[in-house]
This record gives sequence, structure tokens and C-alpha cells, in this order.
Amino acid sequence: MTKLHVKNITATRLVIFAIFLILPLIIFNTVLTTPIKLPTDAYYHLSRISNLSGNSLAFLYPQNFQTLGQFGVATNIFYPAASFQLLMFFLPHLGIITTYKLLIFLNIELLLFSTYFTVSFAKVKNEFYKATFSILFTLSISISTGFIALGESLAFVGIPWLTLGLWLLNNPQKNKKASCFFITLGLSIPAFSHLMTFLFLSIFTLIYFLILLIKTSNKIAVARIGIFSALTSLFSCLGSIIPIFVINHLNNVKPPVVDLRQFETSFISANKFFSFSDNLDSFAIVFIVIIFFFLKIRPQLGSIMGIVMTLLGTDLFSWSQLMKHSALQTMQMPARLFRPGLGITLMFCFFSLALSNNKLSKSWFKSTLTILLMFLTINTTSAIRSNLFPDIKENGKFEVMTQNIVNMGVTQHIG
Amino acid sequence: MGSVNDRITQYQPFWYLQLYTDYMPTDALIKNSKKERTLSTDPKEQLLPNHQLSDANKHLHGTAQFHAQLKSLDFRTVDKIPSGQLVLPTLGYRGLKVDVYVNGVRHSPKVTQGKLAIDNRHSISPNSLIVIRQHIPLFSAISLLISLITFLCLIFLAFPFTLQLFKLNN
Repeated sequence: MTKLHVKNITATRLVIFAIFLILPLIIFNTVLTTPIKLPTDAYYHLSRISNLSGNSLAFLYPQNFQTLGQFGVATNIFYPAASFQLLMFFLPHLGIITTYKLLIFLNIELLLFSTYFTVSFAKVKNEFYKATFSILFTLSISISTGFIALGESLAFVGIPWLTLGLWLLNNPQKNKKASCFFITLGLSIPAFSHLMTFLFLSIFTLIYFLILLIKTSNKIAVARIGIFSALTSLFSCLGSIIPIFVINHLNNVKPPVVDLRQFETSFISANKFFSFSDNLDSFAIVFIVIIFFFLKIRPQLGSIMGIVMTLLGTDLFSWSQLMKHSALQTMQMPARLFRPGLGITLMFCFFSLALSNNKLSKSWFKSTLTILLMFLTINTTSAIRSNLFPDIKENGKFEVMTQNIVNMGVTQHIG
Repeated sequence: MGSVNDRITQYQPFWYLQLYTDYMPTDALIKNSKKERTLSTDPKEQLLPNHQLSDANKHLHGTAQFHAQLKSLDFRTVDKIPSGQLVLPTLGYRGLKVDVYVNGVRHSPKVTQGKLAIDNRHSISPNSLIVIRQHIPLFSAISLLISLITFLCLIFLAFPFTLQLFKLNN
């Protein structure tokens, strides 16, 4: 490798990292300095962040005394917060809403850089693809949450590492010993961020290993790595698993409410992909890319399993009818399978490129991918604004929550 | 209800806007609430956000000067509370270590109906200071330590392979 070539690569990487730093600022520019609305469960996440601020060991104190009514719900046991706490360690002590926005920023950066480094490890050499794949992955799995479901979104940082570990295992010419480390890392991140995502990814990993064990001729090697990965993952996740087991065993704790109607209806509507009427239309772009990948490169076990998982989160199947009285109901929303499934599919597609001898190096493909990413970025930016931007009063000022409004809201709950 | 800025989150009642019942001990909830996402207006549940004490005769007593911090809750009693069991306005989980101090005197609480409770030998006079202090559970600290050690060992073991992978790509 010549010095000039090394210099060119370094310069390209610097440009890519600069784009990664600017991207969250672009998609969040409309709400960077404004108050924000708190859609769906955002209030819950905000409450947890508030309880964690000001002390680096806050995540170890089990009961939440500071928010959510200040009567001590054990949120830090059932909603492991070590990953949040680690990120908050690097943030200055600012207001809670500002901290919330900065955490979203850090979350996006982690998703971008995790994808970039994992596809680098998988020997995708083209810097353009590494950058575009990172952006595609990050925007794809985050858009329908509007990035506000912190916890779930932070857990997705584990997906690139987990899929890299599984992919290394399935490729004979790759270093299998490293796969154990990546699988453990890929499961530990969700274990300390969002338990439901951790559960889905663990089940996915288990099924992947079982299928691989049946398929492969090198059964002993796969079994050995599988058992070692399971043990290391178990030990590395003990910090979040043990407290839940202990408290659940000693107490009768109410799980999150599972409304049968909600379970039956909370799918991603596949027909809305192409309606261009709400945030979901971005998935049309993502699916076009995935279908293209499937046509051009040989799909691997992981990408096929990933696409099955993705589609189970849509209204194309009626499995929830059969499972509505089972333990699966605790997942609350079948749609929860959609995003991790999509992330897994995309990552395995990216890794497959490393084996495809750059079949996608044609310039027209690069142009198409760039245009699709621009659409995705524009759509995400617009979706963020419509989800979080405050309403405007007649006098042109923001409609901001006041103490009177809070008092009225509280009166409705407290008799 | 409007959007939220940093300033409103510093107003204590803001954290009472949504009183989720998720992960609460079911004994602390009335039967109908076990299927609801937020607390009902039933007095049995409302003594929690209202910071009320329930004495041995099930009479409710108000509190004043309520302060919430990461490790502790503290408040003062408003009226005289008779001796006997006193249920506190804090959820109780078996297996978690919590200390209760009444005017500086330490009590070991028990869990009654999903809430912390202490046994008073003497009546409590008005303006008494009650402090509820939680501790980091030993099982959390040990299990986290095991996680960290496992992970550090794994990084140490995997580092040469990871470096090798990285070098191959450059």
C-alpha cells in the first residue's frame, strides 16, 4: 500500500466521520433548541433519565425515588440502565430535556460508528459502502420510533456486533475465535439497555446456532463456539439478569399491561409502506434496497432469518391470533419484532457483500443508493419535526407546558 | 398539554403527570388496577403519590416538607400518629435493603401490602422527621462485577484476533 493511498483513505475516513457527526444535527435541526413534545412512552424514558442524572452509580439504586410519582417503583431493576448511565457520564450536567436530546445524539453516533466498524471487520473495503450502509442501518431501524424510544434504540447498537459474530461463525475462511467476543458484546449491549430486545436477539441467536449446527459439516467447532458464547454471554449479562430474577422471585410484580386488543392490532401495516402518508413510508425505500441485495447477492442464513423476523412484525401474518393467550403476549406489540428483524437483515446483507467480490461496484448503483439515502434522510428529518416540534399558539409562541397545566394534569390522576 | 422544556422538569409535580403501575408489587394495587396502566383514584393507591401514612387503625395521615433524592425520601408528620404498625407512602419489595429513620432512630421496615411498614412501639408526635433510605443491593453489585470481569477477560482474549481482523482490512 503506497503512502498516497493511505493518505487518501485517511482523508476519506475523516470526511465520513464528519458526515456522521453532522447527520444527527441535520435530522434534529428543527428541534435542537426548541421545547419538545413527548409522544408515546417518551415521558417514561425522560423520568428514568432524570432519576439517573447527578450520580454515576444511580443505576444501581433499585427504586426510583425521584420521578414517576416519587414512591419508589423499581425501574432500575426491570429497566436496566447501565448503558444510559455510561453515556450520561460523558455529558455535562444540563437540564433534563437537553440531556435527553444529547442522549439521542450519542445513540445515533453509536449506531453509525458500530455499523461502520463492523462492516470494516467484515472486510467491506469500499469506504462509500461502509458509510452508506451505516447511515442506511441507523435511519432504517430508528425511524418508526422517531429516535425517542431510548432504551430500545440504545439496545439496537448491539445488532451490528451480534450479526458480525454470527456471520464470522458461518464463514469457513473467517476467524471463528473472534465471533464469540462479538456475539457476547452484541448481546450484552441490549441486556443492559432493553430486556425485550435482548430476549428477541437471544432467541434469534439460539435458533441461528441450532440451524447452523444442523447445516454445517464442522459440527464440533460450531457446538464448541456456541457453548462458549452462551456461557460468556450469560456471565456478561448477569448484572442485569440476576436482579430481575431475585426481585421477581421474592415479589409478585405487575408486568407491563398487555391489552389483548393492543396485542392483536399493534403491527406495522405493510400496505402503509407505499402510502407515503406517514413516517412508515421510508420502509419502502429500505425494502427496495433489501430486495435488490437479495437479487444481486447470495442471501445468507442470517438475512433470511432476519427477513422472516421482520415480516412477523407486520400485518402479513396472523400468528398473534394463536398466541394471544400465551407468554408471548408480554412482548405487548408484535411490531416489536419488526425493527430488530430489519436491522439483522440489513447487517447480513452488508456482510454478504464482503463475499460477493464487489458485485455492486457499478456507478449507477452508487448513485441510486445515494439518492435513496437522501430521501431517507429528508423523510426522517420531516418525521422528527412532526413528532417532536411544539405546537404554535395564535401569538406565534410555542405552546409550552406551564405549572398551571401540570397542576391540572396532576389533579386528574391524584384524588 | 403542550411541549416540555428544561424549566418545567424542575417543577416537582411534573413527575406526577403519569403514575404508571408497571413493575409495582401487585399487592399495592386494587383489583381493577392490575389491568390498568396507571394508578386509579382509589385511596389505597392514592396514599402513595399523596405521601400519606396509614396507621394501625387504617386512618390516613398527611405529611409535609416532602423531599425526594436518589437515595432517600424524607418528610415530616403533620399530626400525632398512634403506636402500632405504620404503613409508609413508599413501595416495598422483598429482597431490597431499605432503612427507615424516625427522628433519627433506625427501624427495619417490613413489606405490607406491597408497601414499606414499620412497627411503632410509641406514638409519633407531629413534626417528626421520617427518612426512608435505600441501599445498593449486594446481589446487584456482585452480579455487575461478574459481568465486568467476564467482559474484561473476553476483551483481553479477543484483542489479538480483533487486531488481526482490523489489520487485514487496512
